[in-house]
Amino acid sequence: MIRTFSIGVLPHLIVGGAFALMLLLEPDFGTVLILTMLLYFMLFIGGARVHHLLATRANGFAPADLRDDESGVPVAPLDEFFGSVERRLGQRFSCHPIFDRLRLGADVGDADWGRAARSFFICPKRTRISSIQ
Amino acid sequence: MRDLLAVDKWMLLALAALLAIGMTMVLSTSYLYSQERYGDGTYFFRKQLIAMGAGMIALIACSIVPSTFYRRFAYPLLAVSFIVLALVLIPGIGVSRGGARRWLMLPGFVFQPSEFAKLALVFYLARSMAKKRAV
Repeated sequence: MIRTFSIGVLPHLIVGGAFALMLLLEPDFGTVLILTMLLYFMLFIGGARVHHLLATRANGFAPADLRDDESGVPVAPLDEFFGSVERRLGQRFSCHPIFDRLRLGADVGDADWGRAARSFFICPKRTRISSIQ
Repeated sequence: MRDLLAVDKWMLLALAALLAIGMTMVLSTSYLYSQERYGDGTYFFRKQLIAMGAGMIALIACSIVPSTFYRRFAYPLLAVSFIVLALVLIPGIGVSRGGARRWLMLPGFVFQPSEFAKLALVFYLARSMAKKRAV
């Protein structure tokens, strides 16, 4: 069972992210989606905690969401799927609010990037859905 | 010999079902087209059948290879895969088609490193997660 985020989950996400980056440069968005699903399913089967996975997908989809318009690849349904899981659990998972703001296209000019980066390695925080609506 | 035959029956059943559905779909969708174009309704079906046979041979060969082999080569495979993915991006080495640079031209065939990357990532994840089982 994978228990910790920094040792059990993050190294795999970094390797997977490096591969995804190389594939995005080609660009081959279809393979990126397959690799992402593969990565998350294997982590899930490996025993990674669901809230770790939910928190990181929120950050991982940030660049994908930004690409959505120009690439024409529908990332939104995947994001919506994870969102529905969060709503069912009644909690939203995120490493740092800055990643959520980035996803939503909000202004992040005043953000503390150093703190956000540090929180990414500690990850994640839970927020009750009701408290953010 | 007994070890070789000790396969996961449900996995094998799922594989057989997927292959059967795939073959049926290929025959169903390509029959009229291949009849018009090649004068043989089963042209694509037969090609698919040959590919399936090659896949089955590869499946048997891979299942015979001991798991220590995959464990030992998981990290080198990941490194090779990453290097090959980087090579694709270099103009002159990577082949560009339809606005995407995804292929490497090798003698006799075109190679798509992203297919190799999927396999390498699966090996790496399995190896790494098994090692970090308790953390």
